[in-house]
Amino acid sequence: MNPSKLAIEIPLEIAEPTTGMVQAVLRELLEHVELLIKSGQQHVIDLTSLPLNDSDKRELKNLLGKGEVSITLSTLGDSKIFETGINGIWWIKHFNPNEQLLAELIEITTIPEIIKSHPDDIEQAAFELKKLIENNESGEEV
Amino acid sequence: MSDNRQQLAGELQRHGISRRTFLKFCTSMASAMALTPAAAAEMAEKLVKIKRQSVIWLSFQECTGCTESITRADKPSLESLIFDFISLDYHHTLQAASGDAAELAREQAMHDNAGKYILVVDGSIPLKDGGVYSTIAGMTNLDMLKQVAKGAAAIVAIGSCAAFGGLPKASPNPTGAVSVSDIIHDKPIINIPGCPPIPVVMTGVLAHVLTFGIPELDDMGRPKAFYGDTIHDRCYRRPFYDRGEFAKSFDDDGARKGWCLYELGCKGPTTHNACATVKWNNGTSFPIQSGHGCLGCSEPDFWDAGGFYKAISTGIGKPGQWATGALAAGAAAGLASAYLNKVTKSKAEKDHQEVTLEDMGGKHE
Amino acid sequence: MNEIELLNWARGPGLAYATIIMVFGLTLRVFEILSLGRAEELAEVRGSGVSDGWKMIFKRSLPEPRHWKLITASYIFHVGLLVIIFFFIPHTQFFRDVFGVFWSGWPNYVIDFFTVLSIAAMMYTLVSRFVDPTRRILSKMSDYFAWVVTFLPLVTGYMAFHRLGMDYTTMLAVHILSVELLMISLPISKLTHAITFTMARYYTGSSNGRRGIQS
Repeated sequence: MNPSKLAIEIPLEIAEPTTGMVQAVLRELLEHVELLIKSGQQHVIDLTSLPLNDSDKRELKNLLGKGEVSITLSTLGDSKIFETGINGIWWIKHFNPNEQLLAELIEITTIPEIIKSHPDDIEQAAFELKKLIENNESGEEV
Repeated sequence: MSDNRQQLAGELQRHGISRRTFLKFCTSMASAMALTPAAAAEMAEKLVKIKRQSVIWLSFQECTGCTESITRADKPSLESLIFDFISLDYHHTLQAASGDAAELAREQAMHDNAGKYILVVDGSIPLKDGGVYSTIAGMTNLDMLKQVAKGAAAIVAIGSCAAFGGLPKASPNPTGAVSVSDIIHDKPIINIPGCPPIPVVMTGVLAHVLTFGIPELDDMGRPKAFYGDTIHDRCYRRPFYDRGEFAKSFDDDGARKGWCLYELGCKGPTTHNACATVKWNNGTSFPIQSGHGCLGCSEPDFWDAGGFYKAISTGIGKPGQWATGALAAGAAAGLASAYLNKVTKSKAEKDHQEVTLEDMGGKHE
Repeated sequence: MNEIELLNWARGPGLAYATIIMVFGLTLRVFEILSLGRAEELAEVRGSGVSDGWKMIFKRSLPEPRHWKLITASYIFHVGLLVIIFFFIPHTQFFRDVFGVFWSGWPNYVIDFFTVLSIAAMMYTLVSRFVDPTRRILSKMSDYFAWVVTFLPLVTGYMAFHRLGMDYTTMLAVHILSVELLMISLPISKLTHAITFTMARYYTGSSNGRRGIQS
């Protein structure tokens, strides 16, 4: 058997070296987690504003891991949100309809603001439900 | 529910935007402009609290490309959301009203919001022959600009035509086209050049103006957040430029390998815009990525910068022709000079008088 | 005037004026030199002087042991200028546009190397003008002027390419304007030697040869 015939080409991609920024980010995350514990104060870090290259982001993601919660927000493109393996550290990616990344953030919080249903909208919900009940009732009567 | 909150909930509902869509919009805008997440939250807060900002959009000598770019009529996008936070009181392409009703609406808006409305201009302003080459409802662009600018809080000149004169100003400029800043000198003017400008750039700047006021501008009145770098500074083909690997013609070997397009006329090094990072069509691509050199469309006079397919290092015009002309003139002058020299020489010979020793006072030995 | 308008002027009208002045001026000077001719040879001619003339053109390019440092520095920046002007890739584009002829450029790091060397060599020649007492006495304003207009394009070109100094557009405009200054200076200063050095050497050689001076 000719060995070269059996050889399978594995395309290799050489990753660029990490910059060491990940260490600094981890320390910042710790700082804000401690603040969250002490005073309940939330914080957002815009990842695109930090000098992290792709290898750094990969390393950070590997270190933090993926937790139990995965959320897709669908509005004018999808936004992918998940809790990392570390509770309270959430990773958010906003995409446009062309699947281009618009913004990438990490939130240190109990739950990211954009997920929560806002009290004002919930008050609005009361009105909407009342209307639904009325319409449904009149539909039933007929 | 407080009045403010009711206003917001009502506003958002009326336009069919969910709160989450709105938050996503503010977060993306802020990130694109390198503002902090805290600023994004502030932007969200402010954008809804303000009474819908009155905006008057005047379209002058333009191709409507800027309006097309920002509205993207066929597909709703995050960028077009900005229209939900402004009261577009006048835009003669987009508004429903027409004719006298439209002009009346404009005058009403100017009156109701005097000193507070934002004036957006696209298109250049022709000056030749009293400005007759572009008029709206019988009024020249020049007069309309001066009149509407008086009560404006700030002016946003959208597109290279309004910012720098654009295509109409290209040689020989038959209509005498000029930019907004050539006419108005007593109001803050933000230039958003580009032919057309990138949609998110237009939206981001408008959002910034509405919430934080006028952003930091460079020496040509362009927002530094989007126009601070040149295309060359952020171009992904830089390694090829640095290594001297250039495509020699379209679709040749180098071009297919994605080499630098300097020799094919790319004006990236002297062009300030966000195309290399933000890109076009929702981040799909930009001219260089598609294999065509940058035209330099966000710089003044880019139509007269020597040609889209000639490198920046070439001359504008025909240097070879001038050199030939100068050579001929020099030769002619040289021949004339030679003739004059000959005349002087022969005259000197003719006038030459023999001097003998006696003439000089000497004695024959 | 903003920086783009300055650049467009330098590439447009500026280049036109500079080219016209340079070509007109050099052509006129060459015609004048040739038409003025030589003084009548009244002595008996020992040789034709033609071959001696040609020989002198090359002989004067040989290094002389007495001034070897200065001659080396001079060689370095003359060769450097030739290499940079004709083989830097953006410059090859310029010449292709003007002459319609194209030749391959050389890698950027080669041009960089020659630029740094030429700048150093030119600074040496300037310093030697001050330090050497004979040269200091002989040097006039026109000598320093010629040095400056030759030095500026080197330095501004290097700065523009490496994005030093002012923003690129302005730096590029300044570089092109400095080249135009050099072009205008060519016919009105000793820099005309670029064209006339062969004629001058030939004349010296042939008049020596006619007098029978061995060379």
